[in-house]
Amino acid sequence: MSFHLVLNPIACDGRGTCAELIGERIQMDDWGYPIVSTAELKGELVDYAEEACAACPTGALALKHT
Amino acid sequence: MTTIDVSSVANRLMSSRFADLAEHRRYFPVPTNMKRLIDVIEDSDLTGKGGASFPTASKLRAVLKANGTPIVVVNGSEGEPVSGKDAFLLQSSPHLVLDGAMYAAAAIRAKRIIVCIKENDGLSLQSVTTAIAERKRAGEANPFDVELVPDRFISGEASALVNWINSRNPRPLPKTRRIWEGGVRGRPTLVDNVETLAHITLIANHGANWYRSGASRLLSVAGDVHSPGIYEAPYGSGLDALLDVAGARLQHARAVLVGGYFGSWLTIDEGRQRVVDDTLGCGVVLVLPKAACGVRETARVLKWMAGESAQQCGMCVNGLASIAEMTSRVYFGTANDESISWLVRWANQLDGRGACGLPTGAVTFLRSALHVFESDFENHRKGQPCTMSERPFLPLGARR
Repeated sequence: MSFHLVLNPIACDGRGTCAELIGERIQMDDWGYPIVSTAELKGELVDYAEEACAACPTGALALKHT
Repeated sequence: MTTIDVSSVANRLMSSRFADLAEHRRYFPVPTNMKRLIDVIEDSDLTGKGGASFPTASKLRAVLKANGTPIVVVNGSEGEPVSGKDAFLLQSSPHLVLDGAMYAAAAIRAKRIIVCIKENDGLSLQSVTTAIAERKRAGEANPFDVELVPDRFISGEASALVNWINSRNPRPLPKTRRIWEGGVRGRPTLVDNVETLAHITLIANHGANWYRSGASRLLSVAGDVHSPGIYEAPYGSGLDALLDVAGARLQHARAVLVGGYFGSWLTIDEGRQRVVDDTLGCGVVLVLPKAACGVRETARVLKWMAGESAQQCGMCVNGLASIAEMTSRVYFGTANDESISWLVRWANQLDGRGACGLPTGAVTFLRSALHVFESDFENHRKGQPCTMSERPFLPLGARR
C-alpha cells in the first residue's frame, strides 16, 4: 500500500496550513496557493500528511492510498 | 511554378462527404459485426483529435469497465479560436460523425448519445439536425440528443462539458471526479471529439490494417497563407509540404504556431522539420508573418486566456493574470530587468496545476514564445521601439 497527497484546486482557498504542516511535500507558490508533490509518502511523512489533511479548512487536501 | 507534393495530402475524411444519408450509406453501410470494435480501434492506434491525443481504445475500455449504462458525448465544442475542423466535419460529413458515435456507443453498450454543438454555430446545428431527421425518416435508430454549449475556451474540456450538461455550469470539475465512472447524470461517460468519432467510422468500415496503412488527420491551417482552411494530411508527412500546399511563404514568416493556444510557437526552421503527428494537439497550424510582433501576440493571447479562466482555482485566477500582465509590460517596455526570469519562474510554478489544462496550456504557449521570440522579448523589455506592425494578428474568439 502506498500513500500520496492529492489536492482539489477548486476547493483550495490558499490558507497555507498544509505547507506549515508538511513543508517536505507542499510549497506555497507566489500567489499563496500550495504546490503539492504527489510523490509517495513514507514513514513519518504519512503522519504529517494526515495532519495536514485534517487541518485543511476547506477539505481540499486528501491522502490517497493505492 | 508551385508543385504540389501529393504525399502531403490525404483524402480519407475529405472524400467522405456525401449529399445525403442514402449516398453516405452506399459507401458507409452499418457494419454487421462490431463485436471486436474496441480491439480493432486499439489495433488502429487511434488517438483523440481534440488536443490531448489520448488512445481512444483505452478510453472506451475504461467506460466499458465502469458500472451502469454509459452515455456517449460527442464533443463539438471546439474552443480553440483558430480551429475549424470539427465544425467543418459536422457541416460536411455529419453522418460520418454520427455513425462513429453510434459504433462507439454500441461498443460500450451505451443507449444515448448527446451531440454537443457550440451555441453560436448555427450551420453545424442545422447540419446535424437535418442528418438526425434523415436517419429517423430512413427508419434508423435514433439515440441522439443535441445540446448547445457556450463558446468558451475551456467549456470543451471533458469534465466541463459533463458539468454543463448536468448543471448548466460550463466549468471543469475536480480531477478526482472520474467522468468515465460517473459523468452525465452520474453515468459512465465517454466524451470523444467530433473528428475522433469520424475516424471510428472509417475504422469500423475498413478495419485496422487499412486504417493504419495511411492514417491521417485534419488540420486547421491559418495565418499568413494563401489558402487558409481545413486540410487533411497523413501522419508522418512533413509540415513543410502541408504549408507549401496551403501557400505559405515561409521566407516572409516570423514563426509557426502548432496546436493552437494550448500549443507552441516554433521557429521557421523548427516548423519546416516537424511532421504531422499527435504532438500537433488540436491540429492548428498557423503562420505568423514577419509584419506581426511575437511579443505582442503572446501578450494578447495570454490576456485572453486569463480572461477565459473559469475562476475556480486560485493559482489559475492569479497566476494567469500575473503572466499576462508581465508579458504585456514587457511588450510596452515598462518591465524591469528581472521580468523574464519572473515569467520563467511563474511558468514553472503553474505547470501541471489546476483542475483543467488551462494553466499548463498557457505556460506551454508562454515558454515557447520566450524561446522563439527571445531577442524580441529582450528588445521590448529594454524599451526599444517595435519594428513590426502594430496591427493585432491572432484571432481571439468571441468578445464578451
